[in-house]
Amino acid sequence: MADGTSRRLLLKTVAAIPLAATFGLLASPFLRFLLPTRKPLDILGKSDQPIAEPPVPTFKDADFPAPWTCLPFMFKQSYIEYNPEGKEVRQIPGYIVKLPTGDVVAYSRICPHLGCIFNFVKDPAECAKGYNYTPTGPVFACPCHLSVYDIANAGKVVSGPAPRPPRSFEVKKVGEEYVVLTLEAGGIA
Amino acid sequence: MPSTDNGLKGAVTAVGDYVKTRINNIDIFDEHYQKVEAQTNPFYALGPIFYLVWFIVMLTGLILMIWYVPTKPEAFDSIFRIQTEIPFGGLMRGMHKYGADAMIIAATLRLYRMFIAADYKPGKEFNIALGLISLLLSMYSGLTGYLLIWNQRAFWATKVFATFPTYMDQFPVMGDFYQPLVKSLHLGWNTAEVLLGGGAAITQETITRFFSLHLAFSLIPLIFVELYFYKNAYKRVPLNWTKRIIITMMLVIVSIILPAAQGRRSDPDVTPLPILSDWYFLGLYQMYKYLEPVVATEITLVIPISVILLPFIDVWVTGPEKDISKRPLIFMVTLMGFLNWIAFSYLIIVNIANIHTDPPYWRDALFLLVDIGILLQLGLMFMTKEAMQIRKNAKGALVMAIVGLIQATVGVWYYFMAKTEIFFDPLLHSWLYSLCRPFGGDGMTKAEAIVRQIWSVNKEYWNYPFVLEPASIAKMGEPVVKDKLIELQAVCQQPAGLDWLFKLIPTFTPAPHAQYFGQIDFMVNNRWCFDFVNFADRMNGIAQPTITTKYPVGVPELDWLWMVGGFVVFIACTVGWIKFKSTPLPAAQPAKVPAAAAT
Repeated sequence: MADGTSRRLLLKTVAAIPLAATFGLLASPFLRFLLPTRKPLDILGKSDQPIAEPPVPTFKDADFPAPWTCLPFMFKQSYIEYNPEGKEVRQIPGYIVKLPTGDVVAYSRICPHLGCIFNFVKDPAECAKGYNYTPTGPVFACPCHLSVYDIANAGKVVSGPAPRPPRSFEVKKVGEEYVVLTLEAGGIA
Repeated sequence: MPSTDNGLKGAVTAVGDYVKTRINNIDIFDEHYQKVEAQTNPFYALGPIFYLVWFIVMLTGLILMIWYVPTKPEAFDSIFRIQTEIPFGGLMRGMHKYGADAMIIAATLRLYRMFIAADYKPGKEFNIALGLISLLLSMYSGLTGYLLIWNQRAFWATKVFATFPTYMDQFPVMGDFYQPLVKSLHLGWNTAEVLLGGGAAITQETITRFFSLHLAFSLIPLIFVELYFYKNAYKRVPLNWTKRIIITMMLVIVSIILPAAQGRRSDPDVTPLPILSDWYFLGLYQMYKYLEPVVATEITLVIPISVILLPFIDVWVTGPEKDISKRPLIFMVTLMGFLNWIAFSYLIIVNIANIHTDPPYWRDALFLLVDIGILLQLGLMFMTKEAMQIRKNAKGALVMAIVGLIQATVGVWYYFMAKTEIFFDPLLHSWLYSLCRPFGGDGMTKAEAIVRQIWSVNKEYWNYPFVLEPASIAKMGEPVVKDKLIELQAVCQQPAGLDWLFKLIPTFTPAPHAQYFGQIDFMVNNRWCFDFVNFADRMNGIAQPTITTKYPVGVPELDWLWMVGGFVVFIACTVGWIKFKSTPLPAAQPAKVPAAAAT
């Protein structure tokens, strides 16, 4: 009986090895989850997060007749994807705003909380009604979870659960023109 | 047959027996309750109802598939065509949608019934997990199915659902923080990509993937369930035809009176206000409004885990007891879950909650309802008269004491978090740092002094070897406080008590910093020192140059209730445990003389 058992065990093991190998190989792509996708401390390297691509829009001084003029624009953002190009380029909305101080700031409209598209709310009363928060001036406000960002204060989160300000563009003034430069990396859309 | 062996072999057999018993006791759709319980209690028909509705949903879904076009430009229009032009298309779609809702209602009620009636006793704890899986699969199918309509609500609900796993990258240990021990795994980001169809955006790939998953998550479990029913020769849907027709007609009538809504075509550039999710996700959606996203993500994952653990806890605490009036712990926990869900859903519908100004009632409700349950349970234990039962209660008291201890620990953690507004990871760093601090000696004090000066200049200067490297200087320019950083580098090479330990840990960065000089270097170069200095300054009320808030901030008064509650529960249950443990066992009964021997 002992002999019979060990023979059966041996046969079972021999049969199990190719099966285990097959299923192991099938499961092996999931090991990707354990691989770091970013090189250690490669701070100056190219980000693996979504990044804005050129060409970037340009605005003139005359586009902003009054403080709190808010102009929507679209920019290209590239995402690493598992398709033949290795990336997908999508059109993402952004806002460029002239502050009362005369500064011009530009932001991607993707909410850093959970990826919805936030709005420019000029009227504090409208913000109080829809977003449960009464600001002192125009704000960015996201309809999904009611995060409110103070534009005049570098996009500081003044209400709602967002963990950080929205991702901002660097805006450079060249003569009469405002050139929208690089965007902070990140953001699902 | 329980094992009588001792040692490792006995333990392995015991574990095997334990698992085997529970697998043998599996009950997927209440098939074991049809002979007795279902005759008197309609709640035991929930399993068969779920199964019946599942068939209806599968059938109507297969019919809808004939006309549905799963592409980005066509999806919305094809649904519109089904709803308006195809004969009985609206009815089929309504039955599909309301059938899915009915499945979720049935699965939820069934879970509550299992908890209230203790259907997981004895030895059937896995059934709760199975009931939960049926609920989660229904919810997941609801989510994947909703996107196929390609309307605004579906689009934005999917975006929120696919984005929340990215916050897993901020979890302790799993996330980006434990530099350099663990580099970023991007686990959350990868999960989001897999969910969305291989990218970070909701596109055609997402529709394709969701369409396939929507079908797979229904078909594959159905095959397994059918095999299980066939193998065990159970009656498939043990309802008579009257009941089956009533249930089907309910779906038909609802879909005729209230045709399934279609909403507006999705627009990736405009999020409408207000935007809500499906009714069963409303509570979760409100929680995401209310909480720090990392915490909300953690709670989302903790809810199913705790539901699976609850029956085991109940068995440890109350043993074979099935009467709900003698299990106040489970009663209060289920009540807490139900009330939270109702309250959060109500809050999002009326839209009056504000995360920054509302008092933390919900935290009190969350913890105190469970605490009341534990204290009532403990009270029942103290009222027990039988000595044998008292000894058995010791284990239950210990389990509840551990629950209280966890709550008390969270309370202490929360106290420091509220005082300093510093979050999980930096707080953990500061705590570990303060444990190692006594061994640091003179060098540690000097390092802290330098860190205090450069913290307000740049919080990323913990990475000083990189900042001082000539290649980095060529790219980024010289750091503002270069002399201070060089001073810090010198201090980091001073000897300290735990050098032998920290020299064992690799830095994972070949250049410019292949290994740690010792303890101080490790503490600075993993930002532990930075976090500690920040934490200590805030606790001691030392003004920080770049921060306008006055620290330490007060803890909201309502929070003290649950923070103290944890300690009360812990102490009460520990006292109970010691008392029950030390109760003397009754004197052994004189062994009965076997009848055969007596004659």
